[in-house]
Amino acid sequence: MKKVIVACGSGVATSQTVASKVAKLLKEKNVKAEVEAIDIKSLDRFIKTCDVYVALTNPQKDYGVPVVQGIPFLTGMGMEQELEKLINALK
Amino acid sequence: MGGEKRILKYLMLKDSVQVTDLTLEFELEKSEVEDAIKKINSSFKKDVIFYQRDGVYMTENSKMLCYKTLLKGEKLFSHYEFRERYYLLIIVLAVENKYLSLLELADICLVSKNTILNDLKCMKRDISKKGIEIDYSRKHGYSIKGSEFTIRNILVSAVKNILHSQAGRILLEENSLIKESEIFRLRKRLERLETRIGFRLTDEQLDELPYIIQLVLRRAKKFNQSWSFKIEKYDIKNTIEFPEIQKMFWDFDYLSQSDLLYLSLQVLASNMVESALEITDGDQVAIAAEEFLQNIETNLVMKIHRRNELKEKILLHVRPAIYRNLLGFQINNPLTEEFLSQYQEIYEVVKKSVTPFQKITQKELSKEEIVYLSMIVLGLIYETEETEAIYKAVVLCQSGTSISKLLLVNLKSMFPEIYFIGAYSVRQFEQNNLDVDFIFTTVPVKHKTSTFIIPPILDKQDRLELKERVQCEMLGNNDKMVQSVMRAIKPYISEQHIETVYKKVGDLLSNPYTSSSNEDLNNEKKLFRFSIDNISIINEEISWEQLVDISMKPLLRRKSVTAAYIEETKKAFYANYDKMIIAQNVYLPHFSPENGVNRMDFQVLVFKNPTFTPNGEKVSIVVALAPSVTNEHVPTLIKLNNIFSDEKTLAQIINEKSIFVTENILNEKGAEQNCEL
Repeated sequence: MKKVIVACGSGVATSQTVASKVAKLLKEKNVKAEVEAIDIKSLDRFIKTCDVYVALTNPQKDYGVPVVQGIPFLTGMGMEQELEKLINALK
Repeated sequence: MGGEKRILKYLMLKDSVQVTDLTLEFELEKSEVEDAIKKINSSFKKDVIFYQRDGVYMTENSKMLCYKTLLKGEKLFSHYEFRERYYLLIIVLAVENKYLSLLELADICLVSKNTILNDLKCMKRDISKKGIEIDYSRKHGYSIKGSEFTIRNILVSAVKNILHSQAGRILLEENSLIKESEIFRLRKRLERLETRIGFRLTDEQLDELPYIIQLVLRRAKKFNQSWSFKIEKYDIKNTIEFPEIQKMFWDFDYLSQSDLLYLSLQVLASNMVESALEITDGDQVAIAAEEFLQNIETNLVMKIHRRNELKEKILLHVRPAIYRNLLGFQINNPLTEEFLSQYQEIYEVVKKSVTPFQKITQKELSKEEIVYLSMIVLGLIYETEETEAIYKAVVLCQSGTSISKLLLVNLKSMFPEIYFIGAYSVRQFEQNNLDVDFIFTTVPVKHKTSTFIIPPILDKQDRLELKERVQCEMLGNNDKMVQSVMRAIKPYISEQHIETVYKKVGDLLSNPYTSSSNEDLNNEKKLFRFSIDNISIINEEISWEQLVDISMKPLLRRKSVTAAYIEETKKAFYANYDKMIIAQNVYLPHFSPENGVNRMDFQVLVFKNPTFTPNGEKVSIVVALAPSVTNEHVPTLIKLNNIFSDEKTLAQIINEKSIFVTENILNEKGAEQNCEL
């Protein structure tokens, strides 16, 4: 199964909320993927095994995987575009 | 004897002095000083003053002897230095546990009220860093307030500092803070305890502990309220040492379990009580847990499924385990031998993998602790994805430790048709009020739900019998199954046929074997219930720099977080505030729970006079969060995201003046859209 990681500073609140929301939205669109929330310190380790990275901090470098902005999933502004980007990256 | 007495008193208050100091101080010749020392020593028929080439000095014991025999009620101290006054104030405020007037404090410390005011100012500044306050009431005076655990730690360290100062024991005695007979009795009890549990206190510990214990006992007696501290969860009560130490205090009937636990920590590792906590709460344990999991994966040549979850569970167990190990407690694990006989291989793998933890403690983990870890590892590596199940059950045991986790694994494999919510202690279960169909328990419990009492480790015969009993119970619980199936298929049935289908399904399911239902486990998720205490409507104008402090204050007051947690949150938030949001312009200051969260908590703050971020964004709502290690806060965050994403509701909350209406909105709205990971 394809894997999406959502990373924020602590990995306990914002990333968890976004991960839940993303998982729900993907389920509604019938896209199968495993969504996991992590803290930013673990990013280097998890990025190797994921297909898309949903970022809640500004990406420091090019990780070689598609990056989707996480904040729109919290604010609702621009969410549709980011969701579309995410779904395309998972195809 | 007048001259000698003066010399004696002078020496009692000093560390070591040169003979020349004495000749100058008392205007005597060197030979006269030497004669006086000899005269004093001969009157005691032993050396109480030691005269050597490097100086003249007395030991603390000889000071006490001279004080008792020679001064006889006469006070030794005419004044105290700042250092003594500082610690004396802490001790007095802590053991009296009541308001003391400035005059009373000045009398105790033998100085003016002004000096005491200055001393209190310094003290206040120092102890506020630990979250302790000196409360002042114009009518009653001063009193110490804050976390009981921290107050006791401050008390213990003040006692140690006094004991290390010159004639510290006499200082305590002159202020009637200790009783010599009681000190003697406690010392004897400690010596007996050494033999009973086979450990050895250093001479210094044996000397100091009776004083520390006596003053902690005084605080406990005056405090006389229920209190608890983090270590309660660390399963110290289940160790070999705890019951023995508890026996030592058999006649102090006012002591609570927390008091006894605290005294045990002092007896076994008084100098580690705080530092061990720092180690166990720090990052290095989390890093070691990661290495431990890597070792397990390498040694078992497998990839662990739901690795993060296993890591969380390992951390939950291993932090206390490391704490116990650092403090010298040995956990009692009645299942060790039984476990080893059945799962020797997994034990060996875990034993090989625990080196990262042993590096932290610099000691080997005991067989018992490794067995506990093995139980958790075994429990989670065999755990399969949650299946959709008809029945829900819990596993209970006395302490909620790994014993029930092992049982959980066995039961899950035996009953795939049951969804096991988890393993709990009886007390946790009662508090959580979980809705289940079956309870599997190793201890008898009284509950309206069908309960199966089972042994901690199930052999073949036990398994067969249990399977039969549970199936019997399931047959009798047909209604439950019918309801579950109906819930799943109801949307696809037209209204007029519902009753018929209900009956048909009921008939069909009188057969015990059925397919799974679509039970929505989502509803099980507990949402945080906001009370008015969790909501603040702030009318004052505040600055951006004050925002986190003000938002977190209620959490600190409720002791949900520590001051250190707030500091970490501040660093993280001010560096990254634009990403720490829960909805548009709703800020969510928080940090990782390992850094000082005592329990999950929320505070929603509505600022009537909004401040602005450095980017110029208006800050009207802040949600201060104390997250839980097990992510229990996430469903509530999702709910808050739903609430605050709705423009109308958001405007309503911002404009609302009544805290009760806001409370209602937070509890009632948004839950229906709850979703899960």
